[in-house]
Amino acid sequence: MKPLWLAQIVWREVLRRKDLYLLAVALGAALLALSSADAFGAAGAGRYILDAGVALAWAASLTLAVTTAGRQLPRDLETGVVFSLLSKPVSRTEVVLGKWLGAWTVSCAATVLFYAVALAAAANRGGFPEPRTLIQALALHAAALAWVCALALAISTRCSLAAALVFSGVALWVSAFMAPAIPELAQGAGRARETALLLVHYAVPHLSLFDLRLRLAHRWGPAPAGAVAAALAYGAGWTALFLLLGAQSYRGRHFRRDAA
Amino acid sequence: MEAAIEFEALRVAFPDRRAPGGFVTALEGLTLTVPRGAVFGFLGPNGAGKTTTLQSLLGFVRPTSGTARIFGRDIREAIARQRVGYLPDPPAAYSFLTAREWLETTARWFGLSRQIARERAMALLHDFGLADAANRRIGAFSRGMRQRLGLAESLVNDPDLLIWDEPASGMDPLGRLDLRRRLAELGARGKTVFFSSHELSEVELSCNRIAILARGRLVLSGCPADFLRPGERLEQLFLRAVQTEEKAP
Repeated sequence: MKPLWLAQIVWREVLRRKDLYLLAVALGAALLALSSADAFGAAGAGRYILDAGVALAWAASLTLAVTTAGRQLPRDLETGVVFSLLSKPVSRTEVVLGKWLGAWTVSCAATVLFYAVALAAAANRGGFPEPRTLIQALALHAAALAWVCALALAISTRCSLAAALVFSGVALWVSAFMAPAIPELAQGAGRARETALLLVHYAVPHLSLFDLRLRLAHRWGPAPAGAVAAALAYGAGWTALFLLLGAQSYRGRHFRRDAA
Repeated sequence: MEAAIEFEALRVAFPDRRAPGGFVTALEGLTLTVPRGAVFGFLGPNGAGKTTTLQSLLGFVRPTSGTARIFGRDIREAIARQRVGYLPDPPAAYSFLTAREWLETTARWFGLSRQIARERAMALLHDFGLADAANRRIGAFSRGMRQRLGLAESLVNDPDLLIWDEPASGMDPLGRLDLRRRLAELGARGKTVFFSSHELSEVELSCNRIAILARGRLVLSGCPADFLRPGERLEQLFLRAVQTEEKAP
């Protein structure tokens, strides 16, 4: 139960800050501008607005997930709340779990809001996704947010707030944009470099495996259930690993007032 | 009789590349027992190691060697903290929560039901003169209000042992008077209070036991009456003890 009460604090924080609302308004404004510009021609407008809307929903939800999860532990140290928190009968593992649970669930709820904005904008121009694909897309999105939050939290156990956000952002950028391109880069790079690059390719989580945006926008139909299940398990595996590393790192930390 | 707090040969050293030997010793061989029911003043000049002692006791800092135990248990066991109320210096709480929400949440961490947590939070807010500010966000609180909220938080689980770091900090004379009354009341109820302070007059009026720390070493420990010379005030005893330690090689 203790992680749940910690998660509740994270929810309260996010709901009382402006980030979530600003992201939702910015998303709506961007889609409104796209809709009114009619940049894609009348026939394909709905599809492309859905595509752009879900892409922006990804960007907004990842921003929210990284900033929410990444600031929890460093902010507790900066403000000194960590001393109040750890003097209670709450274990450090419970603190990490509670913070992750809060950051993940609130990011998931925000994602539903962002999708709703994107779907409303697309529906306005005749772009409707298939319900089954939409459910799969949301489930995979939630699975991605789970490991992204765990990653940001694990990094933040040993960093200041600014460093945690920068490192998490870089890690996410590598996962989203560099990791899928590695096999291509590895070709013809020499045996040793090719092996090293492929090792990196398999050693980092791949965000693209969780993205059903094109399938959703272009109505290609639901992804095979086995593939979705495998991606969910892959996400759960990375989440568990990052949580374990984060908890282990947090348990070994010293907290001194002059370090706060 | 079970001791409330026991330190045995506690040594805490922090790595510091600039220091000779590569580390700074914050505490050196601290051996001290705080009996149950004592109102114990923990004194020392700035940098003497008082806060480090409290932080080792609460498990925030791992001792280099030696042990610190609360009611015979290692504080790293979460269950050992069930009977402890802690006030850090400065007190801290989530600024986006209201005072009532913060106290209710901390009460729930001690396993209290929602109903009891709510009642306890409201009773403490009344008791500490914060009832009118119960639904205000802590971020808008003054230093004195935060201090009172911190004291209230440390009592939320009705602990057997209170560990307070500078409880009089940021308090006006009325607040200090109230603090003195509370210390007497807690002592009368058999609670153990272990607090660090620079306010020697508060300690003199409230404590039945003291310890003085200087340069990370325990200089003196026991009942003040055992050490005070006829007509001597605690301030003079403190200066005598600290200056003797500082002259030592």
